[in-house]
Amino acid sequence: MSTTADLRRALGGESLLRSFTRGWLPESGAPVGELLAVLDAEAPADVAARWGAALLAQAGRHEEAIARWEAWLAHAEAPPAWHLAQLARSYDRRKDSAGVFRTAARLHPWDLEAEPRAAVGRLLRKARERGVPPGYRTAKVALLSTFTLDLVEPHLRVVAAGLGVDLDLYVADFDQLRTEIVDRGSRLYAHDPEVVILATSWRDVDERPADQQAADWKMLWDELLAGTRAHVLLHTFDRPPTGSAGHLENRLGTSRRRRAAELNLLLADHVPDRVSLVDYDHAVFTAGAAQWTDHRQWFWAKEAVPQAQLPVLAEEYGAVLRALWGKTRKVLVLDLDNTLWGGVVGEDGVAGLRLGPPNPEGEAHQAVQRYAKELSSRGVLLTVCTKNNPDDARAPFLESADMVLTLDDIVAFESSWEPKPVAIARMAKRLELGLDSFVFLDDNPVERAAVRASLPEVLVIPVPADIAGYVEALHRARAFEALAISDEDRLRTASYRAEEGRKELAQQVASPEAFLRSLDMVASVRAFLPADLTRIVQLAARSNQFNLTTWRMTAAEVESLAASPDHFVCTVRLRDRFGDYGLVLVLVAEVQGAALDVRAWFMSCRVLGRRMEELASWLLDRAAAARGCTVVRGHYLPTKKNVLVKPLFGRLGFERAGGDDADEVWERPVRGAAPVDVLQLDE
Amino acid sequence: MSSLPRLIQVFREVFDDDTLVVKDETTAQDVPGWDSLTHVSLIVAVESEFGVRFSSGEINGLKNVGELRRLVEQKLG
Repeated sequence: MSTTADLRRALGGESLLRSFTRGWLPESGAPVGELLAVLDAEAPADVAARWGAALLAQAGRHEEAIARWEAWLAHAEAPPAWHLAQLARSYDRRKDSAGVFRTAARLHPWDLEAEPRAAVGRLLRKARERGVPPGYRTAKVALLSTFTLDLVEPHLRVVAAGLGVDLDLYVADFDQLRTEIVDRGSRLYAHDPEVVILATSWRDVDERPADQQAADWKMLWDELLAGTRAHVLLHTFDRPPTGSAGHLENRLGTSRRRRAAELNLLLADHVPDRVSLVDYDHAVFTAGAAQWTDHRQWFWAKEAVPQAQLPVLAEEYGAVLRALWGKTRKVLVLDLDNTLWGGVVGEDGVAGLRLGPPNPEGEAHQAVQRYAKELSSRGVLLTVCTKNNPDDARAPFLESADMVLTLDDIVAFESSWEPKPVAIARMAKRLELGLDSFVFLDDNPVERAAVRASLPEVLVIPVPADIAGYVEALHRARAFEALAISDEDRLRTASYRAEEGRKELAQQVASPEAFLRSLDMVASVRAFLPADLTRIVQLAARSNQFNLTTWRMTAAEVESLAASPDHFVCTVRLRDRFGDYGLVLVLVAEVQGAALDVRAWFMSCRVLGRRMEELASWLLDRAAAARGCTVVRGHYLPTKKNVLVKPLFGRLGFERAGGDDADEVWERPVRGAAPVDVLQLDE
Repeated sequence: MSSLPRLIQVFREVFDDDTLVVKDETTAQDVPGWDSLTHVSLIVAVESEFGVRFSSGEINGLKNVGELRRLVEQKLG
């Protein structure tokens, strides 16, 4: 049997490539050089790149394999997980931990095949033992379960790597969930986790009234919240796949199917801020309960989640962790032609577009608009980026009764013939948001490739060819997950549009000073109020640019700071004649001897240029004086994103008083700050 | 054709050991890390590699790699 002949026959066959990477070569014994020559001479470039990489890796020539994979992946949209696993393996064999982490972060929710993802997760574990690469933060996480869930570990590592996090993970032994929580001496508490995941399933639901069962869970999370600094992730309960009462299960007051449903609603209504529900029930539902049920794996090893579904579960955890760790995206950039509607408005005219019933394609486009509208109503900013004449692009919004989105829903409208990456970058600048806040939805693969290549921070949705799958593809990204939805979220689009009004006014008035006065700004200053907790934690998680110490404080931390007599916690809301910005500024300071030490100072970038930094400076001054301090001390902890505030202390009359590059310390004597005269105080 | 080479590849992936070699006589005691949980991973990986499905009874009775190999080959016909 000639290997080169086999190779010729097999060229292009995906499944054969796959078995080829799994040991076909070692038995064949043909020289690698000969096979490579055949590939490069006879195969299409795509085949040569991937087969060549696999071949080189098999031969132990990992450096060359990496080069081939990387060259191929640079142009690949949503590359298959098992290709990335091959690349990660080559990095691992080169002992290149950064390469393994980087590759793991490229695994994506549009391919959730379990085996390659688990393989990459195991390589991550090896990589972290060699040393966590720079740029990745280590987070202590504990996983407690009522069933065997050890094998989710590699999948969780993959998801965390995608969020820029390395996991120091503690997985408790089988069914030790309650035991470890009630024992303060357990390994759970010794691990000092910042996140605790409580994994449960329908087997934990019994026939007792749901409020009794909810009380049991409340007792457990209360214990965790009191004994740790952790944010807790708790599953909702899926429904048992079988039930002896059949179709009467829901009518039977005591059935577990009914109890699970009741319990889920009770938990949803009663979990405190530091507990997030992981919607396990919904994950099982969307994956298909039949796919999720492998009774053999339960009886063999008490695995309630079949191994093939572990990536789905890990993604579900990742959705909550993304919000918790401040990686939520904020802007959805929408293409128009063949994305929001079918057809090209510049050629077909408004009347010629496929939008809305009875056209099935038109209904699918409308579904995309409806999903975007829902996102907008809970705080995601919608923008348009289209290659069209501005009048053509706006016409359907103004003239078509089938449009769900209106121009009021769109906070930035880019219609020109410029390259889309240029337009998106300009949009980011105008909205004062980082490019890593952006998600791009476009039917055109060429535009998607251009954005991926020029703006790698932007998440580009790999939409399917059929418009019917767009909403699902967008939803799968879980890019806009939040811990809670605050009033600020609901009003965000309105407030960005108010900003447009302010910009117009700014152009009319003579000086910046006059502009600020004409805004009629009112700043409400408050000490910590429990009702503000959600917003404070959210702002701490989301503020990147105007954030002096980038302390992602948890709800528990805020509460304990507010309760401490040595601490000063204060919030500021700002409103003006155009609208209400809501809570936009948070200050946390601690009395340390004669100094008021500013531990946290972060602000929404939407109020930049409103003299809020001077107001904050004056508030700190006043707080210091009231506490008998003689000096205000500030810290600047540089990150990749907060360069904006590097000159802040200098500008406010502080002087450098030591520290180092990682923690610059600045000081100013009390009564060094002037009051702000362009706004009115409401206290 | 013996399915042993493909089985070896599955073993190497599950145990993440490029040089692991198993024979018909190999048992769980011979391979470091082969505990009850990895055993399920192994079975699941073999199922997906060969496109077969094992019953609880079949899994319970396996004594060594040879029995697993014969079971696979019997299912493949």
